[in-house]
Amino acid sequence: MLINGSQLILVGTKSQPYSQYSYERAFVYRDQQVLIAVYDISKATPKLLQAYTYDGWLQDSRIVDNQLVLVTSQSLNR
Amino acid sequence: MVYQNTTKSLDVKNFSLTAQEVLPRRSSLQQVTTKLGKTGKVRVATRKITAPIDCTTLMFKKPDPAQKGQGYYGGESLTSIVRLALNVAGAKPQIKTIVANSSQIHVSKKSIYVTTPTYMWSPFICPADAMCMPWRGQGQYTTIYGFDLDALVYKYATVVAGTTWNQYSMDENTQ
Repeated sequence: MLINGSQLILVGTKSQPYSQYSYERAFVYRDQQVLIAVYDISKATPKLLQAYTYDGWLQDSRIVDNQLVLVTSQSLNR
Repeated sequence: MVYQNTTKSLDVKNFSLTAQEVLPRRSSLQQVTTKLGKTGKVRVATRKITAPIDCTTLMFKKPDPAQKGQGYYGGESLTSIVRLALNVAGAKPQIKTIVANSSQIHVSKKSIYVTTPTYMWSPFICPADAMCMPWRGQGQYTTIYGFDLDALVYKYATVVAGTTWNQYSMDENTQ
């Protein structure tokens, strides 16, 4: 969870159900996704401004000069 | 990683081509938008944003049979830097993806550094013609990948002996 002025940024990771994914056949694991949700919290009722999902899991996050920077990772099958 | 997934021996000269065929070339990010409909139901729409994967950081471009069983190829992964401008309405995220593991990060106003701790179980010699780090003896090492944050481009990678204690063990000397 990050705060940037009047914005609340929630960053998290969600897992895909195992049954929906074939580990044996895939070269890139897509079993986890990073969620990014940006809310405007300047008013009493928060408003969702942007939301994204990205394959992989979250390594770390920062806010630099009004920029959200995420480092994500995604395993390669071998 | 490619070596252990291969049932027959690879032609060493053509391995870089094989790697290019096998490795994913683009990564995709999905934008999710929600709207409250007139009926009171929330409508969810998604849109994909794709970005190329940079394979120039691939440390081992061809298989080395001597590394089989050493566990060094295990756990190789894609590392993505995702940048989203928070002060621009509707700004698209920018993504830079390289073939590398990642652990601790250090971010300054101009750069981002991603570290990868690695333990070498046996001395490693870079195979001829391969794009990888030079000889390293047995022990703990940390690979540091540097990125330019303004342009979101990969700058370089280097290897140092030892490992970082935590994210606060890093700083940037810009002089």
